[in-house]
This record gives sequence, C-alpha cells and structure tokens, in this order.
Amino acid sequence: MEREADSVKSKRSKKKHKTQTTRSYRKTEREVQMLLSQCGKVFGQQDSQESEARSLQFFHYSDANESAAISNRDKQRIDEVASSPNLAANFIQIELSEPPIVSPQLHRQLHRYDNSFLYTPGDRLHLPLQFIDGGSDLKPYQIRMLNRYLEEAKANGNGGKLSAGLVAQLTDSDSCRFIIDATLYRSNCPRLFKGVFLAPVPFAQFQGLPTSRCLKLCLKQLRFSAHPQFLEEHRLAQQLEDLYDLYMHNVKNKICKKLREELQIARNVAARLIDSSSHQQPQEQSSQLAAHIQRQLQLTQQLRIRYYAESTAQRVLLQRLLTQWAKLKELRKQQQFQCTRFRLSLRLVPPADLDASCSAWKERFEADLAEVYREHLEVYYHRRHIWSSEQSSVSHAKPPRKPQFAEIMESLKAEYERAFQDPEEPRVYLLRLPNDETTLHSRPSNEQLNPDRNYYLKLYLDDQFVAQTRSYRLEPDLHVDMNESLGVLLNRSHPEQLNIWLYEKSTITSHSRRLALMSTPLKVTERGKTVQKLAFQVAATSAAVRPKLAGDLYLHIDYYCPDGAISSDLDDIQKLPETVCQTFRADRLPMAATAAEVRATPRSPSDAGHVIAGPLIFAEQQLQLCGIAELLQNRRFQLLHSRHQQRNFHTKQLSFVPALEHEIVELEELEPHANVAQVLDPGTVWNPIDLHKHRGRKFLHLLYETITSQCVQRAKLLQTPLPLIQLLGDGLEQSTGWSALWRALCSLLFGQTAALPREPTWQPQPMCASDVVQQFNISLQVVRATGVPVRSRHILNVEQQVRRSSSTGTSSDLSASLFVTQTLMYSNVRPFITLSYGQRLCRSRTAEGSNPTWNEQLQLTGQPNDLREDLKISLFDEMVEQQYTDEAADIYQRVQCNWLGEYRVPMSSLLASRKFEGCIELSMPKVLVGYKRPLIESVTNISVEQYPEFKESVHLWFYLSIEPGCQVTPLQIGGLACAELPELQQFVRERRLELQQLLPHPQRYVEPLVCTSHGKRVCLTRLLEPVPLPNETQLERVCRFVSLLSPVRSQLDACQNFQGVWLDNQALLDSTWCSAKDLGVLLCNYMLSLGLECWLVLGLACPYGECTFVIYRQPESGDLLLVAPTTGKRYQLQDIFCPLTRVYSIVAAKNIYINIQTEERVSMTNFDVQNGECWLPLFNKRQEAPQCGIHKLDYVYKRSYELSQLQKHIERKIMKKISAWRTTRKTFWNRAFQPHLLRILSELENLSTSAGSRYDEPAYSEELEREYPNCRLYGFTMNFAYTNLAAISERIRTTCIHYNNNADVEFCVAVHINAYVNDVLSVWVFLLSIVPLVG
Amino acid sequence: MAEVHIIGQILKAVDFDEPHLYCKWSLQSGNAWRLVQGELQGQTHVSSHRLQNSSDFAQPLDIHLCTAAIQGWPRLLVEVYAVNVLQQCWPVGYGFAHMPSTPGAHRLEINTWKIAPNSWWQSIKERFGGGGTALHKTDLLYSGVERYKLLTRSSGKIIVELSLIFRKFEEYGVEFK
Repeated sequence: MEREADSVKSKRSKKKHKTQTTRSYRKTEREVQMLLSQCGKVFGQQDSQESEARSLQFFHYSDANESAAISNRDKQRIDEVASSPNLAANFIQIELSEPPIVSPQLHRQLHRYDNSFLYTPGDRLHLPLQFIDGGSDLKPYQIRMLNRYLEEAKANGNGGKLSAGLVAQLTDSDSCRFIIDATLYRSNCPRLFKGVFLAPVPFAQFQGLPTSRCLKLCLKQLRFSAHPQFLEEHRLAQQLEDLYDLYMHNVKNKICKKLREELQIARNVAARLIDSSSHQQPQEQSSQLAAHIQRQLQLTQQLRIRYYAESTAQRVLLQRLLTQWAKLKELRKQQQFQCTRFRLSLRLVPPADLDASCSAWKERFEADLAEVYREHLEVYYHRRHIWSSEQSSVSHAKPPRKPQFAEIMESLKAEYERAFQDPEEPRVYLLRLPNDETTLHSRPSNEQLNPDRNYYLKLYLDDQFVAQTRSYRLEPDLHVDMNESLGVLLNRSHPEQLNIWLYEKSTITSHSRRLALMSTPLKVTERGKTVQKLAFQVAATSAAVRPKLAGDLYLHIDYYCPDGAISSDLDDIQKLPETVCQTFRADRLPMAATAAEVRATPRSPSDAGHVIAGPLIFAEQQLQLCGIAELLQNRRFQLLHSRHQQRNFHTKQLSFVPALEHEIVELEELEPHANVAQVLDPGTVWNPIDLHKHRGRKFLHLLYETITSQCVQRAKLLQTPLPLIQLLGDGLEQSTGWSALWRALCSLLFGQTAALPREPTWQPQPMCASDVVQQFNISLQVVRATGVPVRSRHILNVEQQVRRSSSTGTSSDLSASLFVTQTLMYSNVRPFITLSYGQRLCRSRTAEGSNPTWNEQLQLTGQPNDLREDLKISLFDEMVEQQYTDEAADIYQRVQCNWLGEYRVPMSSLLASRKFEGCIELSMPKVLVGYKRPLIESVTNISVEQYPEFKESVHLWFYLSIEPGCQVTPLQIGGLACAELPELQQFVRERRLELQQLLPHPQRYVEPLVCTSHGKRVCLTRLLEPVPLPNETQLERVCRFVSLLSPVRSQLDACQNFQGVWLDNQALLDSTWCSAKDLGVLLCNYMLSLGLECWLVLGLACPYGECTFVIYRQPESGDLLLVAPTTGKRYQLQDIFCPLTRVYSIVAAKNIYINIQTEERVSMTNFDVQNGECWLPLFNKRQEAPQCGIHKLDYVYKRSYELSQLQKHIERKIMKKISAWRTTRKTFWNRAFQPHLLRILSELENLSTSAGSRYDEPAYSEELEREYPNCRLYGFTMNFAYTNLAAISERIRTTCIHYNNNADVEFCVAVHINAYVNDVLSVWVFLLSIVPLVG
Repeated sequence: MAEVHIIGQILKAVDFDEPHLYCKWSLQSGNAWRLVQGELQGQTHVSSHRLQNSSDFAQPLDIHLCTAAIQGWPRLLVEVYAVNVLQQCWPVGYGFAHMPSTPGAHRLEINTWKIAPNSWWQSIKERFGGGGTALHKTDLLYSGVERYKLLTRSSGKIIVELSLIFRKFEEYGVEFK
C-alpha cells in the first residue's frame, strides 16, 4: 500500500498533461470508489483524487508514456502474480487503429487432446517449501492456490520460480483475505481467439473446425504396371522410366558433388586442427583439441564412406539404366513393333585431357589412400593399446595385426573402381527424348482386336463424391494421359483422405466398371505443389471377370488454405490415437467411436448412402398432424373440393357429403370412379370422328365469333373520335390533390357529373338472325321439270298385273288412244314437288309424265327455329295403288309417294340473297331402283339435237323467294390490322374509288383486302398458292375431296361472305368445316399444285349466294371448264345450267380481274381475262400483287379414324329411326339384300369420281329387279359427306321411304363409308323397300 | 382430416375518422390448409352511419377449411378503405387477427393502423384531396420483417363476430376444452 502511495506521488510530480475527464465521469467514479472503500479496507486511506488517477491510468494507459515507470511500480503486485513481460499488454487496449499485439511465438501451437495436458487441481503441493516449518498444515485451498501460481509461472517461462514474497503471503496461515481482493486483475492471454460459429450438429457428424481450404489436384497420368495387355516391353520401359527418374533425381540433387564438397571441408578442418594442435602446448587444451580432432576425423571417415556409397549407387544406377535400355532396344527389334514411347539418347564425352584427368584421379586416390591408411593405423594402435592393457589381466589373446598397406590399397582401388569412373572412361550423359508418335509402330493385327479401353477416375474426399474426370483412352504403352486439373474449395469440413477410384468405361454398355482404389491422406501443405505417385493394385479375382491390375497415378496435390492468415490462426488439432480415444469415450460415447471408425476406413462409394443419417426434416413437417398428401387423398376432402370447384357434373349437384369417412366409402362403391376423373370419355361415348367434326365446328364458330367481335370493336374505335380530354382525365384518375379538389368544386357548383363517362366495354352480341326474322314466308314458284325418271317396267307391270288380276276393271284408262297408252307406257310417272322446311311441308299438284309442268306457287310460312336446317325442294312420284276388296263397291286407293330427288337450299343463303330463280339441277340418287332414265327415243321422235332442253339430269325451273329477307350487315373488316404494305393499301383504296366509277354493277367490286383466319387483312392474291394435296393426284378425286368438305350452315353469318373470313388450308382442313367460298380457294390451290392453269371466280351461285368457282384449262383440249367446288361438278362455260349466276371478278395468283362486261349471264360472259374491254386488272406493273404467305405449305394430312364402328352406328341409327317413325306398323328388316347392296355401294364411289357429273344410269337397278322378280323393289342410294348422325336421319326422313303402308313391306339398309384423309368421309346409304308380290 | 368451420360476419368498423368505408378482407392460412368451401376473400359494400362513428358491414363469412397441420393457423386480414365524393378511395386501416383457437363464439376486435403521412404536404393532400398512402405489398400486413420501416398511425377497429367449429382435431391429439 505504501508503495502505491509513493508511486502516486511521483506520478503526480511528473504529470505534465492531465487527461480531461468530464464531471459526470468523475462523480460516478467517486461514487464507485466510495462504495469500494466502504466494503473493503484496501483503498480506505486513498483519497478520491488518487483513485481517479488510477482509473485514468487504467483506461489511458498506453498514451501516458512517461508514466510507464510509475506504472511498473504501481502494478508490481500484478507483476508478481502474472509476471508478464510487457506490462502495457496487461490491459486490453481499446485502440482501433492498431492491431492487437499478439506474441508471435504462440502461433500455431500443436495441441493434443490428452489427459496429460489437462490440469487437475490436487491437494498435494507441487513445490517444496523449504523455509516453512509448518508446510504440512497448509490448508487445501492454500495448496491449490500455490499450485496454480506455480503452474502459471511455469507456463510463462520464468523457470517455474515463485517469488518468495508471494509464497510467504500465500502460506500465511491466517490470511484468508487474499481471495478477497478489490483490485481488478486481468489475466493476459497473448493469443487472440476468433469466434467460430458451428452449426449444431450431432457429435457423430462433427467434422472439425471450419476453415476454408483449397485443394487443387492435377492428374497427370496413369500408368499400368499390371494389365491384361501388359507385355515385356512395357515392363522394361516402365523400369527404365523409374530408373531414369531416380537417376535424374540424383543428378539434379548433385548428391555426390555435395558430399564431396563436404568431405573436402571436413578434411580441411581436420588438417587445420591437427596443425593447430601441433602449435599449442597447454595440456588441458591439447586434450580437448585431441578429442575434437578425433571427432573431426571420424566425421571425415563417415563422409567418405557415404560419398563412396552414393557414388557407387549412382554408377550402378547408370549401369542398370544402360543395360535396361539395351535390353529394351533389343526387345523392340525382336518383336518388330514398338508399343512404348520411352527413348533415351546417350552422349559419350571422352575426357578432354586424358593426362590431366589421370593425374587428378591419382592425386585423389593417393589422398584417400593416405587417409585410409592412417585410419587403419589408428585402429591398429587403438587395438594395440587395448590389447596391451588387457595383456596384464588376460594373457591369451593375439596381438592385433598391423595393417598391410598393399591390401588396403587394393581394397581401396576396388572401391574406387566401383564408385568412380575410370580416368579413361568417357562421361555418359543421358537424355530422355520427348514422346514421339511416329516411333510407335502398330502391333500385329491379331492383337489389334483388343478394343480401345477407356478409363476415368472418380474423386472422393472421404466418402463425398467430388468429381469425375473425363474418360481417357488407354495408350498402347499402357499410359493414360490425363493432364486434367481440378480445384475444390472446402469450407467447414476437412476431409482426411483423398480417395480416387479408377473406373473402366465399358464400350458396350453404359455401365462402367470400378477397378481400383487409390487413397492418400490429405495434409495441408505450403503453397507449393507436391508431386505424388499413388499406386494401386488389384488382385485378380477370376481371370475373366477381373484381371490383375496394378499401376501408378501421377498427380500433383496442392492443398492449402486460400488465405494464409486463417490457417495460421488456428491451431492444428490432431486426433488422438484410436486407443486413447477408446479410453476416453469408452463408456460415455460409444456412438462417436464407431463413427470415427467408420470414417477411418475408406469405403467404396456405392455403400456410402446408408451411413448418412436420416434426411433433413423441417420442423414444420414434423409438427404436422398428417401429411398433406394424406389430406389430399381424403375422400371426403376430394368430394367437398370438387363440389366447391363446380367442375364435375356428378359432384356439382351433390347436396350431401357424409361427415364420416367410412360412410363415403360406401358412396364410392355406388358411383363409379370415372365420375371424378373424366366425364367425357371420347372413346366410348363419342365417336372420335364425331368429336373431330364437333370440335371443328366449334372452332369455326368461335373463330367467326371472335373475328366478328374484333371487327365490331375496331370499327367502333375507328368511328368514334378519340376523346382526348376525357382520356387525359381517365389517366389522372389516380391523381389527387388540387385537380381533384377543383373537379369536386366544379361538380358541386355547376352540377356537372363528376363521374367520368367511361367507354362501355363492348359485349359480343351474337349476330343471331332469329331475332331479326321472326316470321318468314317462303314462296316457291315451280314451273316445270325435265327428265324425271320413269317407273321401270317392273313396277308398271306390277300395277297392270294388279289391275288385271282385279278381274274386269271398269277403268277406262286402258281404252284410251294409242298416244295415251304410249305415253303411259314410257312416261308413267306422276311427279309432284314438295317444299319443306323443318316439320313443315307444302306440296304441289301432281303432274303427269317425265317432263311435267306445274306452274304453281307453293307457300310456306314458319319460323326459322334453327338455321342449321336446309330448305328442301323434293321431287316425288305419286303412285296410286288400288286395292280391291271382295265387294266391288269398296275401292281403296293407297297412295304411295316415292322420293326421286331433292334440292337443298341453305336457309342462311336464302335469307341473305332473298331469292333464287332459274333452272336448277336436282340431285338425284345414283341408283334409283324401280325407276329408270327416260329414253329420249321412247318419249318422242324428235332427235336429241332438236330437243335442247332435254338433259340427262333432272332440271327444275323455279322461282324461290323469301319474305322478309334479312340484310346481313357486312363485317367491318376495315378496322382490322393489315398485313400488307401501306403503299399497297393506299393503292387499293385509290383503285377502288376509280373502279366504282367504272363498273357497270358496283357490287361487282370485291374488296381485295380480305380477312384471314388470323384476323388480319391480306390481299386476295395471297390466297392462291399451291398447297399439299390430300394423297390424291387425280383431278376428279381432288374435286370429290373438296366437295366432301362441308360448308357450315348455321346462323346468318357475315363471315361467310366475301367480306368475311377466308380460311387458310390449315384451319379448313383441320376443322373440315368452312364456308362455300373457302372451298373454291382450296380447290384452286389444289389445281395449282396439280399444275393446272386455273383461276378463282368470285360470283353468285344459286344455292350459296356469294361463292367462289374455279375455272381451269383442260390440259388435253385446252377448253376452259368451270368447276363448282361444293359439288365437284364441271360445266362448260356456255352451260346454261351452271349454278353460277353472276361473275364478279376473277382472281389469279398474279392479279385480280374485275368483270366490266355489261352482260350478266354467265353463259354469255367472255372469260378471256386478257381482253381489256371485258376484264379490268386491279394491279398493274407499278403495283404488283403480293403473293403467298397465307397457307401452310407443309401441312400434313392426318389419317382418318377407324370407320367400322361408325358404319355400324349409322346403320343402327337408320334402322332405329325408321322403326321409330313407323309408329303404326312393325318394321321388318330384310338382311338378305344387304351384301348385294353393299357391293353396289362400294362400286359407286369409284363411279362417282370417274364418271364425273354425268347422270349415268348404271345397270344396277335392273340387275336387282331381275334378280328378285317376285318382289316389288323401290330403293335409292344417298350420298353425302358425313357430319353427324342427326343429319343422316334428317336426310332419310325427307325421303319418306318409311311411309309405306303395305303390310308386308320389308326394308333393307346398307351403309358404306369411303374415307379420305382428315376424317373427310363420304357416306353412301342404300335404302330399299321390298314388297313381296302375292299371287 | 381435421376441419375448421368459420362462420360469422365482419360486423362493423368503428372509430374511423372517415365516414364512408368499405373493407377488403381475406383469410390467409399456411400450406397445409386447404379450402373446402367458401370464399377466402372479399370486399364489403361502402357503408356509413348517420349518427355514430361506425360503419356496419355485416359481411357474412362462411368458410370451411381442412388442415394437415397446426402451422399456418388461419388469420383474417382486413384493409379498410375510405371513399370520398369523387369516388376515390384510399386505405385508412390495415389489420389482421388470427382465428381464435378455441371453438365457440368469439368477438374479435381488430385494431387497425394506417400509414402516417410523412410530410406536411402529404398530410394536407390526405386531408383535402383524399388518398393516403397505401402499402405496396400487402404482405406487410402480417409479416414483421419490414414493418420497422413504416411509420403508422393507429386507426379504428374492425369488429368481427365468429363462431368456430373444429372437427376431428382430437384424432391428432389436439383437444379443445
């Protein structure tokens, strides 16, 4: 205490500048000191001033330089305790700029976990206490304290001495106060530890302290020393290689030279010592010197011996090398080929100066000889000395022999010869030549069979797979040159071993074979590369499976810490030996020991999996009540969820879901599982073809709808000028503040509507015509018909037979004139016309003969319930059958109406074009059993030429009109985006204005920019381009194919017009639905790809309204022919029966020609487009027409689906329908005729395509009649493209074949389907009614 | 399959300064929860009270959830918006409440907060033009990660009346007394 007091005094005197402290600090410090002084007596006498200084010194120690001396004294007590060399380090300086001072020698200590290093306090005193008599009655805590200080003193390197004062103080018997010490002590640890965070991990998986290390591996090459392909040459070459490496190593290290120099030095020293010993006289020094000399001489001797040995070894090595090389060369020469690359070049340098080298050798030899002799002599004297001393005690012993100089010289000479080269011997320099591919000569061919072997390596750090090299080919010299380097940055875990597995890549399978393991422990090295050679060896298991393998892998391992500081900071902590570990952990942690064991042994990578302890589990999953999957599989949840989603038909309506799962199980049994999965099973419920057709139709509707709505929207946008200010206001909707306030004020003051008028979003309104046309009135003026088929003789005969059988007929028919009978004979048909729509029907009176005249108006009123149905004009033959009963008075007449043909007018086109007039060709059945074509000879005597109106088909003159019509608002496609160049658009616009002046009929102008199925406007000429054909190359077949694509007939749709949507080939063929105009485009494209010269005609056609036809030039005759794409029929240009009624323009791929002829009739129109008076080209040289780009040129047709199922369906449907329609009578089905009918049908398709449009009467009906003479047959074939089953039944219903009241009637139906690609099907139906003739 | 039925209504909003209010609400739950039936979010009508400082919504809630875990217990997030004469709306309250974890009837009071205007100009703007500051991401409503960046002002309360029915929790060892 006094010491401290005077130190303070001296300090105060020396203090020059005082550290400024704040008042609050002083105050708190004073309080603290007061508290301290109250509780302890240590600082009781110190005044507050001093304590402040102390605390100042405590905190500002380092910058008070001058007070160092004082502090030394001040802290002497601490010195005694800690005895630190540097006092300033007693405190942790809060100095941010300087790094903490750390004693450098304490870096990188080596620690071992061992019991011996652990200090366990004991009650036994470690140091002897000499001066205390009562050492035994020290209290245990005193002993412990003493021990502790002692240990600390030892550790600090003070020689383990405790200062006497301290010991006295500690051993003071009654001092228990030294524990209660108010002074603040801080023990000094020079080592600065860094905090390391370790993720909590089970002890078994703990891998060591985390540092980052970098491992760089450079795999040089692999060399096999045992291999199935191993040859003698390989062995030699490898030996040579090793020898050469060794030799070069020696040469490089210059061991001999170094040894020689050392030896020389040692000799010099010895000589000097001997020299000095001769000069110096003092006794004790001389004895010391003698010992020294002795040692030096011994050293010299050892060095010499070693030098000799080394030199000998090197020489031997060289000799071996040379002999091996000679052997290898010999072998190579012998076996005629060379599969190794090793080559050596020798250079012999004869000694330059033979005499000089001789003399040098001699000199050296003599020096050595002298030395050796002296040594021998020394040994001899020594032995002699011993012997003489022993002589006194033991008499029987030989005196040692004196060394013979000659012997010694001989032995030394021999040694010299072994070790050094002869003076005359030339020096040998070896040099390995670099590898040269040309030196390799291929092996004999029988060994060439061995395929190339490929090897690769897999690297594992411990068990962790790290990398895999590429696979390398095994060279013929059994080297695998890799030269691949890879780096691994290791954080945290430090592997102990590097395991490399050698794999052989199989050439046959993808699996590769694991061959051998090489492993090496990994040790941190300096930043330099260590070259290692890893050897592996695999014993042969069974010769075939695994041959013996051995080899070496040359690699450079560079394993270092990327930032040196970290590595030096951390101590090397090495594992204790296993046995020690066992003793440590034997009872407590058996797990860890096993884990360590497992890790210690390298494992093959395949079984590495099972060691990995359980998967990483998130706590969330562990805490779950059940798995999510279990929840999702819950039946009740599924039911409830699907009900909530409202997607499933079955669960949508579910009102009750049981609360308990076991109740649902029953429910599940009741309803099939399919209801959850899929409602619509296309395979069973829907025929795939039906599905295709349905989807195609849907697609087209959707397309039309979308484009319509888009058009309307765009048109609207174009019409309304842009509301600039309002738009601005709209944009400012989010803005708040003064503008909004102003608007609010305005609205308040002027009563303006504050809400901004918004553009109402356009709702697509279906363009439904049924809203427009509530009631319509169709009137059909039927004038006359020609070529109505007549009843065949068969039916006629029957009638006559019946009449004749009815005994004396009172009828006067037969008693008419000859003319009448003739007419009756051949034109015995009583046709009438019906007009029907839906369920409504209206018929004309019956006329007589095959060229009837009705001149009658048929009226039909009704509502267009569904525009999908067609208006039908049917031709019937009324057959009156008289039935005679027994009573003559009662005459029953039975009227039988036989359907002969029909004509269908799509309702939508009728509504659009209001009226149709002129002459139409009725579509007649190809085979009409019971009727035959009227022969012109049979009717009249006038020749055919003079009977111009007589055609081979049935024609009908008519006038059809509808009231009220419906004006279809054309699509405003002007608003759609245009794909053409702006110049072209401008040109077209100008041209239109020009043309509309010029045209005699303004409607003839068709806007050349049309809308495609993509909703863009393009020029019409782009539509014409050759497209892929549907596997047909015949023109007729192609026409047929096109005609079988069905025009969609649903609602009154503006899209079907010229202003509407033009489909490209993909959309059309995929959907198989289209509008009538698209068929023309498709046909024209097909003809173009067939190489025909053809044009597309835009005009009006009879049942379709706006429609396209195709004109093509027949290649044989050069005539132009007009083709109706909807029927596939061809017409002459002059044909007045052609359904084309108006021609607007002709489109070619290069130009558009607009009809400027005043003549409207098609038959009179000039079709020479080059004629400038008749046709006006739209495009000129200045503005060429754009071409191509719309159609998909690589369109691939799909095969149609399986048909047999559909055929059965149709057949069944027809039978079911007819049976259903015949409500009063039972329907009998006669299957006997079916094969016959089927045969006819199968021939008809070919006939229809080859015969073209000609109404040929085949011999089928007569053939049938002849075959079954006992029956009255009536039947017909029907042909149409397949759309759906309902359409078929509708068609059959209109034929009224089921209205046969004969009790004995039997029916027969046959269905044949002819399939084209893309589900385009032509359905042939043969319906036959058979009435057996009785009597 | 443990199930929760949440039946009740968002009754009203009280103590808000603004008279015309509507409330957007949504029910949020963890991954292990699945909606069986009902609407998980919605928006009430605009409501005001002539005499009191409260807006009655009486927005019905009927939600059926099922769960595989307790984690992610459902919570009701509410955002209260005020509407002014100009049909402008801005948020005046954010808040959320966890569903009570006991079955039975509950009355929840969800205290809400709104973003405080950070400048004099903004406060003026808010006062006159309407339009306070809205949260850019609504996940700030419930996640506390970035909340410390917000300066908020407490706003009114949303009162929710709920009755909860829990089914089959006892199968998984969760019992309600």
